[in-house]
Amino acid sequence: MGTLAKDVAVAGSESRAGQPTPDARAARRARARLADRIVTYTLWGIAIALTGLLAYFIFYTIQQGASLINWRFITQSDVAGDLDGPELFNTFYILIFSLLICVPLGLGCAIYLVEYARQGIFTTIVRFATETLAGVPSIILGLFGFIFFASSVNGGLGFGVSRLAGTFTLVILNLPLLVRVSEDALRSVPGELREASAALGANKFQTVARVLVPAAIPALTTGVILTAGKMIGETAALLYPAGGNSSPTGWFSLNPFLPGDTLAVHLYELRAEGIVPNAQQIANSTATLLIILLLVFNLGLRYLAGLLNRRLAGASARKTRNK
Amino acid sequence: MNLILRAFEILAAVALVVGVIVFLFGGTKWRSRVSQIAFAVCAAIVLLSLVTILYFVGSHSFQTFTDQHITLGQFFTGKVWNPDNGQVGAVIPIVGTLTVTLLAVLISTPVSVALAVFVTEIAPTWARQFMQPVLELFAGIPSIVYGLLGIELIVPLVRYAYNYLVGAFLYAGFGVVAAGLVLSLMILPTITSISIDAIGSLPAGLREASLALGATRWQTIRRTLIPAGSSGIFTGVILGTGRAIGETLAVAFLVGSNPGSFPIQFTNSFPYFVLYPTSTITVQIFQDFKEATPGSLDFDAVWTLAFVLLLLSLLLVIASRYVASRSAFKATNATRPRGAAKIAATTLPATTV
Repeated sequence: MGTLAKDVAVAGSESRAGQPTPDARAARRARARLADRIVTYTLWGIAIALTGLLAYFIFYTIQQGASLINWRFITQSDVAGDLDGPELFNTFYILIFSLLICVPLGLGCAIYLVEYARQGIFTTIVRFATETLAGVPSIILGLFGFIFFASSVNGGLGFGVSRLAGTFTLVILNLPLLVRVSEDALRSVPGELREASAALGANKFQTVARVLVPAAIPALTTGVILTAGKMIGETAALLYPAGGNSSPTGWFSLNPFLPGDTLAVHLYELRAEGIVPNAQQIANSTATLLIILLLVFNLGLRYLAGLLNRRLAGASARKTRNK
Repeated sequence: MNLILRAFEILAAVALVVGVIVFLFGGTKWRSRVSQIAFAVCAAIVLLSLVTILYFVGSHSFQTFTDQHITLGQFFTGKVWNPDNGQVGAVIPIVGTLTVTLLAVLISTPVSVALAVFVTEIAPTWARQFMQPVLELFAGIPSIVYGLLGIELIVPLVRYAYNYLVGAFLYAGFGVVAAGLVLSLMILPTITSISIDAIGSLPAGLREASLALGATRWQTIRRTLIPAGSSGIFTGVILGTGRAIGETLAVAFLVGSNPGSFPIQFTNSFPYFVLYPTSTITVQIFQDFKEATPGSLDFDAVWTLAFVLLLLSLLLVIASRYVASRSAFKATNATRPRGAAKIAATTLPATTV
């Protein structure tokens, strides 16, 4: 340290003992404080700029498409393809169906990983498979969904280009997500609950079913709602398995074998192959609908779920509140 | 193949019925056993899905080389992508993917880390709670809407900037620059939320020690926190890269869908470089699959491209696990239910559209 100090000693800023003079120290500190100030303002600026960008995007999209939105637009269908009723219905249909399948599966897998799994090869493989599945691009899942669920050649299941095929494709797409969300939710349950349940004589399953899962529901609902918000905007995975058109007359049915385009897929079709004269305008309005749905899910439902959780879960929810 | 599926279906149905009966009537001990098997089956289904996907993508992709008699060299070094004419050179899409991804990561990482530092260190509580839904909304905007916004807002910007620089109208704006900019916005929430978790879960003692030594807040962040959280940040970057590679719709709207040229070409005279619309792997798959008939070169080539994409994603997942395992921070197993963990959980690559 001594030789180094001599090497870098600048005339007047180092005393003979090799330590910086009080003036040099003060200057250095002043510089550091200035740097701190500048960086703080810059970071605030970045955060504000990004928030502003988000707000601009959202308002721009809503404003571009607001002109066509009325009750008829979102509930009816037109032979000319002018209205979005079928697409909205299909969006919710596929969403609810795939959540119904996906959440129990994901929860079951998470329960296994958190509660039952031992340090073995099966567990490692399952974890690796979950993460890898999470990394598969959605277009590949769309192709796979088409080949495996919709088509019947080469070992496909032959459901046809249908809402069922779309549902199953979305299930595979979102399964890793829900496993992760469920795992987080289960792990957030305090250990005392498990121990108390065991002390009362419950076996593993009773503990899981009657204590852990109910305790994990608040955290679970937030994750499920966020996942649902993502599912709404899914295009690449649904275009091929579920189709790009819905019939203008029979769409309001629960028949899973009908083809069903969702809002996002319809938006793509309008932009890519819009044949109606005002395809652009309809596309903008569809985008507006999508953004409104996104806001409803991410902000509205989440807020409601938070309120509900605080009411239901009481003290434990207040303790483990999100930061 | 169909026979196996039939047998499997019958077996599964029988097992389901038996399981339900035992569950309902068997008493707690049997119930416990059956449910354990049920949970294990759920886990096995996840595994099975991945195996099935790998099998289908792999088997179809190899047909390009076996049935269609394309050589590996032809595929990976050929510059012309025209499956209708028998030419499947994938260089341009691959270069396109790499360029767009690189651009997106280079732009997004500094901003993400800055935002993460802001949220964990500098923001007061109200700002922190405000940024959480902001990040979630960023992550939740559908990819196709990003594409539309890109066409209407970013492409004109790029077009104006390039043509202004060059002084003449040479470029329409579609290409890797526009795609890279929008893609960086899309992977921002991913990298940010994982970085927030990484920096936020550093022990408070680190900060306190640094401040006790007289460092300013920025010095603490720059010299202590960011290096300490670097492996977590790096994991976030890798996962963001994985998301960027698989992104389809937004890139399809912005990159030009033109497998005929590289993103940038250099000339000997002013303006020395010209930007062109190009294509990426995902865009090519997306466009070509529409008209592909099973058994044709079109079809098989698309699957080969898909397989290349799958391999890249797999490599990134393995890389992220490796990086995460070398540090105390584990991005996939947050043990504390922090808000950022929820964003991380829902913005990881599974949500590419």
